[in-house]
Amino acid sequence: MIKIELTTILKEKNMTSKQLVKLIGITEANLSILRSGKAKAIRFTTLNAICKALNCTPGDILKFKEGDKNV
Amino acid sequence: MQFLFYMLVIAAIVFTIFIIYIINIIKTGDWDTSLKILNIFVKYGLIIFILSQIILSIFSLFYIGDGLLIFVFVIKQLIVTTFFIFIYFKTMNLLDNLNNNNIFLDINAKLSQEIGLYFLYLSVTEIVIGFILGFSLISSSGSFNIATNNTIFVYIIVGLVLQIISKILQKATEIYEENQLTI
Repeated sequence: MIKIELTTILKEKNMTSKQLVKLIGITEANLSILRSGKAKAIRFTTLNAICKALNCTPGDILKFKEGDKNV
Repeated sequence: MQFLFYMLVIAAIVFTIFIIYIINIIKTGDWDTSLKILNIFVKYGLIIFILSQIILSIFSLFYIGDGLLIFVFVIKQLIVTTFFIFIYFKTMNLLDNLNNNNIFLDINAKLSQEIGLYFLYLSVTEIVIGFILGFSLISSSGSFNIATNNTIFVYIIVGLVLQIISKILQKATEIYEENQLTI
């Protein structure tokens, strides 16, 4: 299962969701969907914007965890 | 009798012109205009159709002599009219959802499936009543005759097409929901 580690990274970078939303240009509702793991897919443009804003790589945000059911 | 014939001919001509007009609007018009026209057609067209069914049925009762035939005919008309009333309300629900821009919903797929089922039930009703009439004629006239009716095939085709459209709508709803959850 693919897990989104956005909450951890935000804590590491001392950034709030509202600040990230302003930087990447998506709605708070959509960021909440992404953080809760309810999202079915993520666009390259969104991933690119998140990586740019948080100064990280896609691998830092998306983690693969075995054992759980597939997305 | 002649008056009724002329009235029916005029009604047929008006109806044909109206259908051509609707086809033209749907082909050339945008989504909102097409929906508006379909709404009017379903709201008034189907009511007029159901009422004319009832009036013509009552009128034709005077021309059927046999008691059993009258009974079968009345039962058939009751079933057909009931199914058309169900179809009317389900179609209105579907159009209301489309008007409110709620297109890709599970309920819409379910509604079109139900409307399709009613058309299939209508075809079964026509077939069963056709057989009953055929067998009742053996007892009254001695000759076996099963009334064939083209509307049976129309009902079956419409019913099956609506089932297919319902499946397409179900798939489209799934894709739409996935798309909504793509960030």
